[in-house]
Amino acid sequence: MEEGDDRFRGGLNLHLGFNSYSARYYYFMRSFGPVKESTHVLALSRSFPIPGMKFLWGRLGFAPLLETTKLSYSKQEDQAFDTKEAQTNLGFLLGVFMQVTNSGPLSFQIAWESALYPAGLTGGILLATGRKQLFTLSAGMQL
Amino acid sequence: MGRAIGSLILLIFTLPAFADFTLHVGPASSGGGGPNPVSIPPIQVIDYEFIWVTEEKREWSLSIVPGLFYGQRFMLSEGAYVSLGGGLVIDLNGVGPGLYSAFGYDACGSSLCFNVEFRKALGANFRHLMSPYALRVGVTWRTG
Repeated sequence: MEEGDDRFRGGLNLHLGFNSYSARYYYFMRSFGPVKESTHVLALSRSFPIPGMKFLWGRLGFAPLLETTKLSYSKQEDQAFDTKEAQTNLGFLLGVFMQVTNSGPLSFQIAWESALYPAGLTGGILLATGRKQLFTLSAGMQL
Repeated sequence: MGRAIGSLILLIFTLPAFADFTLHVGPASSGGGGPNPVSIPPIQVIDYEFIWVTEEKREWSLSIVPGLFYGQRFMLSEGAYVSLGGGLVIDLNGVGPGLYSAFGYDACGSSLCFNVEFRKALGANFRHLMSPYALRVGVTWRTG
């Protein structure tokens, strides 16, 4: 995942699809010192073929976001300053992906997606946005 | 200078290969982190983008961020499209070759369309991966 600063960090993706509709869950976590930051994105989307491109598809949908930041000190005298805060937002998911299936049930997918979020009500009017850019390499099974 | 500009405008009118011309305005995210409101009034050059689409739906897009690209536009429905291609990605962290994808929609009248587009790029220079993007709105003028 990249968040507008050209820095990429790894996470987990789970995909559940039915026909052209899918639910994809992304989880990213990082900790530094007493800070632990977790990012959860649930992308609800519909896939569509790109005309003339055999293996390329597009994906459009919505992406609710939950970000939690937890401050947790190990020393007992500092634990009074422990805090936890959560932020939510609802954005659009726009992406392209390449999917390859073998003769059996296995399928492989590489996806380049962006979850675009308005930066507040007034920020959204002025086209100010935040983005979670998601690169995913996944393997799965068609049931 | 005036004659040169006038000749260029006449060329745009008459060449059938250049079907659509779009002028976009909107903020770009150039790798510095955080959202960027569009400039008010919209006088910053970095907020602007020009797109030239031929009758074959080949497009040239010119902007400071995310960069200079050539690609193909694929129509999904009346107005909605996806574009894919490559070119020169420009970002706060440098300049380098890369790919782009764009999602857009034209709401059209007789010769003018209101257009909204999200364009993102992924590129690399010797030290960095770069991934600028822009959400812009504008007007498309159809010459064809």
